[in-house]
Amino acid sequence: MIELIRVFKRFGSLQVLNGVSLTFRKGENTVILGKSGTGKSVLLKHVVRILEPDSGTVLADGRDISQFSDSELMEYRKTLGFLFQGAALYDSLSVFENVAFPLRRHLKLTETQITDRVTEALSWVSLPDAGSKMPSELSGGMRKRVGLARSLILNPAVMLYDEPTTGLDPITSNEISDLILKLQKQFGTTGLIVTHDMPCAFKVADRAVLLSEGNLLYDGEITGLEKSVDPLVHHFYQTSVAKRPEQLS
Amino acid sequence: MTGNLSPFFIWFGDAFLFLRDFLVSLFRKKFEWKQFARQLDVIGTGSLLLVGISGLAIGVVLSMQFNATLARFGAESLLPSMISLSVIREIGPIITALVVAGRVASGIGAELGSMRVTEQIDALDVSAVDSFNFLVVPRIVAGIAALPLLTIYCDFIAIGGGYIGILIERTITFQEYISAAIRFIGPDDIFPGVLKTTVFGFIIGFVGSYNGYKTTGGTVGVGLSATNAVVLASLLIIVAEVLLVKISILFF
Ligand SMILES: Nc1ncnc2c1ncn2[C@@H]1O[C@H](COP(=O)(O)OP(=O)(O)OP(=O)(O)O)[C@@H](O)[C@H]1O
Ligand SMILES: [Mg+2]
Repeated sequence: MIELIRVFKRFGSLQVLNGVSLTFRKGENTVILGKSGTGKSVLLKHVVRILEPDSGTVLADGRDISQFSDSELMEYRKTLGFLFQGAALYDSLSVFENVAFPLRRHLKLTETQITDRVTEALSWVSLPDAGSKMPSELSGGMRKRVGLARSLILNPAVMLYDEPTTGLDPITSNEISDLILKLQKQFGTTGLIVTHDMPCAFKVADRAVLLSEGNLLYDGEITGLEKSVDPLVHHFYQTSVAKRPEQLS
Repeated sequence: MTGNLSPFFIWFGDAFLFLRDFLVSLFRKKFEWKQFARQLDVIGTGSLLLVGISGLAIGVVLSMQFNATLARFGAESLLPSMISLSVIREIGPIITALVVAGRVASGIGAELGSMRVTEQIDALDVSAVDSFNFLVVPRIVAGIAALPLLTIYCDFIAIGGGYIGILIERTITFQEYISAAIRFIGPDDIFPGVLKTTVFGFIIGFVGSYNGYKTTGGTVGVGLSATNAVVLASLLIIVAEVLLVKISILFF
């Protein structure tokens, strides 16, 4: 379980997180919605301690992550998978080596075992033959999927997905949504999913939160968004869903 | 209150912390040998051509310059020693350091800078790899290790270039030239020259890494980091050269 307690974060004069309190429960998929620039990526980065709050606390299984020693932080991070919004592939390594990187660093495996696991992960993201390519040779959507394969290769207990389906066609998008569900079902993976893709959100969410101006505007069932009486939530829901009504199921 | 000076002090404090992190990581954490070997190849092998050409050209030029001067005093026989002494003591180290600074400090600055702005450094950290120990430490140590080797290589080529320079003016066999060149060379000429390049190598690795690792501001920031790295590294090398010459005169 991961808890954010009254987390504040500002960059210069810009207050991005304004006392956010939020709990992510084990095994649950939480979808994080919100307009561009409201601090969704910033929020995810606080969970993995790439960013630290100006004030407020982040707890992982009840322990304050800002108090972790170097080695505790390493152990904690090994239980996490983070898909960056920009994929963040290592430019100097091939697709195969990108995905194999966490395996090589943290597990003692034979070359055959590594090949097996990388091949499996690449097939999960529908890129079974991309292994020998370099990141610069990939399309945006492909990079994103390689990033996804890399972040889930160690079977993390918690997956943080920063827009897992942006730049993907509806069919591949749907496959990625299925993959997120599969990880949850098969391994009990906790999912923190930032997305603008409403079909994906509806498919994977056990719960949805709506972030606006550094605070939570909504926290509850995703289907409840529609019934919310809050005018801002209502407006967000109408405009997000109205864009592609035919894809909702 | 501190006015225009405060950015300078902030920078200085930040660089000092970076230095402390380097020392702590170097002595407390597991050394990344593979990364070190890769960087040694990039910095060392990658600079061979550039350092070689510069060394050759400097050797030829020195030789022609000294020849003209010495001829005035009828002291041409001293020419090989003049060349080898000035190459080994000063010219070889400083030329190697400046040429490598231009290539490597900017290279490290740009590479780490683009890794920073595309979040590759964050990605390393999130996957429980200590990005500082993985990226910065091997680069700085590779700089320290590569510079003395490149300098020795540069010295040889520059002294060879000196021979070519002499041949333009008069004939002398290579054996005669070399035996004259090494006649007055002792360990106290070689060691200070080669040892001080470890300091230059440190400066190149440190300044390149610091600028790259701390890059902000997207692609524009990457360009700035690369440029600043070369400018600052070259400047510090020249300042260090002055101090080191003073020190080596005291001790050797
Ligand atoms: N390292 C940083 N330095 C300065 N400002 C930052 C930094 N990171 C984020 N910001 C600012 O914080 C705000 C929130 O950024 P964030 O990336 O979290 O938005 P987001 O909700 O993820 O948007 P999007 O949906 O477009 O990805 C933005 O205004 C951004 O400019
Ligand atoms: Mg974002």
